[in-house]
Amino acid sequence: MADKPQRIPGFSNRLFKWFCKESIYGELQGDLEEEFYQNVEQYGPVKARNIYRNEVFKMIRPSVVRRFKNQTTRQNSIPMYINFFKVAFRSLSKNRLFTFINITGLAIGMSVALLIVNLVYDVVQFDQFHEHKDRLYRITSTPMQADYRSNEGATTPMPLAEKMMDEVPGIETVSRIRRWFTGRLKLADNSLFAEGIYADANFFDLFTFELEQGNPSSALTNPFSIILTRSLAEKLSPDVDLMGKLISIPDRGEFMVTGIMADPPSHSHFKFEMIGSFSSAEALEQQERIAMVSDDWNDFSHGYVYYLVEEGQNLDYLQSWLDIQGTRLYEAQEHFYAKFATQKVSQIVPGKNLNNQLGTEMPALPIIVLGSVALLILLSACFNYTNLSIARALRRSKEIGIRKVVGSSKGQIFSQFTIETIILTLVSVGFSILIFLVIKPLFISSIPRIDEVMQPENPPMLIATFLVFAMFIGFFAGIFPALFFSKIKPLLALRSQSSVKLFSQVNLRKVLIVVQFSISIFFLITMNVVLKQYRFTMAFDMGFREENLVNLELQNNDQDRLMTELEKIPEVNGLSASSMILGTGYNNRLMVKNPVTNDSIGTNFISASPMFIKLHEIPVVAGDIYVKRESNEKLSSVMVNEAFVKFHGYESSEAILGEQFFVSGSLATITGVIKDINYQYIEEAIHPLVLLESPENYRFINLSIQGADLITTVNKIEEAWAAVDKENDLALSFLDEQLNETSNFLIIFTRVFGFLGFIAASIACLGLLGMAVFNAETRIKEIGIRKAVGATVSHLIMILSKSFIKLIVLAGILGGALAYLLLQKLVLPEIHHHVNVGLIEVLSALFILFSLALLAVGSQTWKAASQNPVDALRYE
Amino acid sequence: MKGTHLGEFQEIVLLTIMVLDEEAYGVSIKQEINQKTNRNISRGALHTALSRLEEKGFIKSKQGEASPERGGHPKRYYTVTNKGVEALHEARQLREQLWSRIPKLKLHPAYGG
Repeated sequence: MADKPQRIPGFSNRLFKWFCKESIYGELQGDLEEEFYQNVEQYGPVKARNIYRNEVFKMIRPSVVRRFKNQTTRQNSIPMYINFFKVAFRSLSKNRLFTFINITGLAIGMSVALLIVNLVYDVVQFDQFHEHKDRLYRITSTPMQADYRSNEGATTPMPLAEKMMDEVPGIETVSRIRRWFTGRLKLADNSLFAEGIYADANFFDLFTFELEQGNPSSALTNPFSIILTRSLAEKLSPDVDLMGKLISIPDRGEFMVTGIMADPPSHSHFKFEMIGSFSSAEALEQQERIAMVSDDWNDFSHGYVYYLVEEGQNLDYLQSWLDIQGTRLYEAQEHFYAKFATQKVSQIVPGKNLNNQLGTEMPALPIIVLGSVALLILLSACFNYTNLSIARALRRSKEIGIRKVVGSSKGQIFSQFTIETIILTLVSVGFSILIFLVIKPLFISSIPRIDEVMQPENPPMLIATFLVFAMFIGFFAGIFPALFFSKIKPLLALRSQSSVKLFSQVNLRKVLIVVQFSISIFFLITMNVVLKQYRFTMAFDMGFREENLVNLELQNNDQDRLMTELEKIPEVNGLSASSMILGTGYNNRLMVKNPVTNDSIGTNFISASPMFIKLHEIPVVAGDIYVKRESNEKLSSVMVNEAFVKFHGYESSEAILGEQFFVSGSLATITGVIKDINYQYIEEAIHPLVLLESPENYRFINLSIQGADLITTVNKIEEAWAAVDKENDLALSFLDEQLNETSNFLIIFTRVFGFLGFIAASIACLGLLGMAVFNAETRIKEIGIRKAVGATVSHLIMILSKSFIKLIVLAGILGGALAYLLLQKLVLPEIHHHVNVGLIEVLSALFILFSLALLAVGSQTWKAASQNPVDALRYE
Repeated sequence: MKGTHLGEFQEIVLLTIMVLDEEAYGVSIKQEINQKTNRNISRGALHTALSRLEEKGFIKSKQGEASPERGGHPKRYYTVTNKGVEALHEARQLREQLWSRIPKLKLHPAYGG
């Protein structure tokens, strides 16, 4: 037998002590222990311990277990809760203004959050309806020309599809889509213009679109088959069933309707009104009616390659295969190769910013930014709410004290105020949904192009998400006040009565107000600055002529033929051809070699006919424009800009005249220098530029227009175009409009920031107003006494508002400093031609906010100060 | 008369307490019952019975001394009250009455008449 004393099982012991009635614990525990030691002697320690545990377990019975608190509370639940409701309603309606402020603040914050939730929800929905979305991908390609900075594009050379299918295992199907299936559909005496795509016969194996009539596996097999969407079919012929009918499209042929399908859903990344079979495109290429690109490895603009991965396969080796193909297929071409990559279809929207998107695009960044801002505003609203609720609590501390003294438990107090909070929250939620319904259409209409992503309808799933979200917010906003209420010490509360001043305590509230106002000021200043930048951009002199210039896309036509036709139009008083439109976007580069130093530099170039310079009124600072080159002549003369001169170290523009450089391999003489014009975006600095005449790079025809009647002129241009190109539509733009459009995003920015600033400011002011109301009411006694002793109204107003004013001034300084630093030091320098954050922008924002704040505080303090002191003192 | 009904187990407990005379406390009652009646009762079950008996007024208890074997906790001694003795007698009488009314032939021969 062991000599050391055995110990009773600790856990069972503690457990028993916990659940046993206090009055009988001693006796029972003693008996248990006595028996334990006896058992150790008799049966050994292990068995003794087991017996002990067993005994404790069997002690769980009504005569032994103590009464836990729960049991008493449950008895008066229902009438108690009814009382809570009554009190809640009464308290809320007694202080209508306060309650209103509380609700409105939270509602506004929530409605903004709802808007963003809606946006995110809509964006995330994209392409989720495809059954095979987990296995559906597409190929993207980036053509790489020497050190030409290219962007990744959604288009891919179409022959890659067949090669992939043949050589890569683990791929179930590959399907090609070719865009620009457009034309006038003619049926009987009805004629409609429609846009669509050409698609492979296995289209429906990849994409889950609903084919209402027709057989999905055969509808796109035969050449000259066409599938119409339901709305197109309705538009074309509302009463006749179009299945099997022949529709003729001029310059394309007769198509047989092999299917009618439901319209592609709004959250599909690509949309179309009709689908032509891919075999039709191949046939049309044979007939030379459309560009022969389905077998062209160098076509990076017409086609898209989508593929479906076999179940359970992962295709790591696909990328290495693609990398090999990218270089091997283009070996014959100097300085050129392609980079192919894969992209999951569900990650197209939101996703990377690619060129040549088949449909909608939405980069992820703006959504994240908007989301964070909305979150900020929501937090601000919630804090406001919490703030004001706690303020209310202090006023009711007497009531809480009495309740506690009479015997209310912490839990009951908590429930009471939670009920109040729930009522308030429900009302706020309802309110916020109403506000949301109002601002959503405004939001959609004021932000250009957001309607591609956000739908005006509110499907039930969305509403459900809202309600969950709103409840969640309401719960969190409400829980802190409720916790706070239940912790108030009763005696302290009874004693202190109404002299609870809030500003000497709880620094949190001061911080809150300062933060809210700073944020509002920040937004307003930013909005002002962005507006200033926008106006500046609009008025900026790019250095060349912008008015009455029209640009046509060449679209692979012969520019001589086109120019001949266009010259015939009397209203056209000048023509040139070029590789890019001035002032828009980045452009191409070529290699320029300095024969002296032998350095090769990638340099921006514009290929343009000699008229280009006169047409755009570009100032020539030295030398002359190059002479028009004959088609068999080699390149011999170029022009450069002042930046080029400086870059290569010449002291003056005259000095570089006559110098020779290797331009794309040919030795060329510099005949002239142009002034530094902003040929790229004005956000960019002006880089060295080479101007040369290389017709193979032309992509645009530039026309100078005169005459008042623009419509007739445009019609004539259309006719001239149609005489040369029957397949494609005219793509025409006015230079000045196009330049304005590049600053579109500035408009978006201004509107969004203005909107957010307004919201933030409203919430901040509401919070301040609430505080002012509370402050005035709590200090009623003090005001009364001061007045009785002889203070004037103005003196009183000053005393009451002093602390507020200090906070607002602090907020102004903080917000202003933050805005200035961020904008002036970080954001604006990114833009080459930028405005500065000026005094006006800052002061006007401060002025607006100060006035609002003073109005809020002043109105309440004035009201309080003008009260009859007798009324205030009589209250006690 | 309801509430003064004596359950079978409670009767055993009462009798045991009387047997133990002055030495009836938790452990001793439990062990006596375990040994003499071949039942394996738990201290908890015993406690239920004891508290019911106390409620009915059949037993009373008083606190005894503490001791180290009991972890410093005191004992509690139980004694049967007059009311309890009465109840026991009543129960016994009821049994005997019923026994005497059983027809002789039904009884097992080994037990005699």
